[in-house]
Amino acid sequence: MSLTKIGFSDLVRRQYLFKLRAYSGVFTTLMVLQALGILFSVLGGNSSGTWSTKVEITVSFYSAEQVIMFTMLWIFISAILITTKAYREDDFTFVTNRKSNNLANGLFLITASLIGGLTSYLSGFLIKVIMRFFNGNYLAVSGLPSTWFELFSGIVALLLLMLLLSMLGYLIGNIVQLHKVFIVLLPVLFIGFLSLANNLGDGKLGTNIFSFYFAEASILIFTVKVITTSTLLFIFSLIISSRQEVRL
Amino acid sequence: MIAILPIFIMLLIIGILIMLYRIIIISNRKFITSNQVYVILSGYFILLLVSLGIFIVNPYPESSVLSEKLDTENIPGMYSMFYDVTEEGIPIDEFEDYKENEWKFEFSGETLQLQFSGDETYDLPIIIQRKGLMDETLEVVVYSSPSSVGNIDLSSMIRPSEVRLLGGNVLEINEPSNSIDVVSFKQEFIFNQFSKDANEDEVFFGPRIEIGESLVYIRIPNGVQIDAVDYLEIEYVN
Repeated sequence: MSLTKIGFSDLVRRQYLFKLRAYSGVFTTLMVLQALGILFSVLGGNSSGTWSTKVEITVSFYSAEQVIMFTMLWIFISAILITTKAYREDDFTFVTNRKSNNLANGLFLITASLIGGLTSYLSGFLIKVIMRFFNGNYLAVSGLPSTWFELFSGIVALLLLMLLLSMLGYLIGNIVQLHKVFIVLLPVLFIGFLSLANNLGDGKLGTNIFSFYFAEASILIFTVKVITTSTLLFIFSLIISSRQEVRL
Repeated sequence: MIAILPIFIMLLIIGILIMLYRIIIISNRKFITSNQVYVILSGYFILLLVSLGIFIVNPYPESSVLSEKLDTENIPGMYSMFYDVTEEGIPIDEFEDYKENEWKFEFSGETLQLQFSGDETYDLPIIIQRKGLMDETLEVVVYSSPSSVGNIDLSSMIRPSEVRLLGGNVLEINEPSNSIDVVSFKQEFIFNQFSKDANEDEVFFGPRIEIGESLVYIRIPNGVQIDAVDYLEIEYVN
């Protein structure tokens, strides 16, 4: 029994700081995956070509998309893994409850999303600088945001996307912790849902869900949609987590 | 029917990444302390910021950057121009903007032999117009459409066509081979979502490539016969 009484917010803060140390391996994985993404982007940039009687053009185009995709998978998997037993055991170092633990996890995932989003965005410049010094071909500049607003919107959207995926991963992780049968059931349900979405309304359901986020041209509305969805996913995680068995 | 294969591949990739993830986490716990991880992460972040700095302070040299933009929407292909002139009767003068070069030769023979030096697997469209009897000159005009990548004009990198009259009756049209390698940066998908100029195709397939084509317009004295290899697409207009 602890004789020291600490407030709830202080408990969450301490747990959050502890998790930053205990889950540092998550960031090692981020760096390894991003290094792989940068390597793949530089060595295997996509290329396309076309020709006529007059000219043959081959274009090699480079972007940080592979790094962004790897980072999206990273945050999704990280969010699932921090709900697993190995990580949960660490939480019992503290006098804690489900709520403070989940909030600390949420803060950790927000931090991880920020770090992942920013580094994946900045990795695009590393790729461009590498190409600058190691590729002497002519450069047709066409792949840079044309205004500061576009640049700002892109970075915000990238961070939000990471947050959304982290909350989705966290929910899935918590569902799987309810019963191991969900490890098989969730992918099956996912494929079943895709099939259903494809068949219902001439396949427009799936398209509509995708368009709800990715066809939204206003950064403000996109932000509201993603934050609302992420909050809902996190609330579901809290509810599911509270149904998990208690460790005695 | 949904495609199962991409979903299966995606799940497989996630599975492989989880395994990789666990290996890294185990190694991490054995060999690196959390402080060391954050030192390395800070170093990585600084490296990325330095890249951003280099990109801003030391951009690509102007000589290697192509930035002149084209409005490719309204540029006709040479084959559609060929159709417009030969079938629709539109005067060639309407396409003055696409004139690449022109030549004039004295010609007094009865047969003009056309030779093409270039890629024979493609039909070079040629339009021939007969002139008045008393005019003993050949006029050759080469029209061409520009090449572009993501609307960036590549014209400065393309050697123009050459036309010569050999031995008095052989007109040689030479299309020099232009092989161009261009590096382009594709804007990441998330940035295109909020861009007014975003092109959906470019988001998925990269910058759009417009390939330049040529059309040759020849005015010959009336009565002159044309002798040409069959892979040239020749049409006559009045």
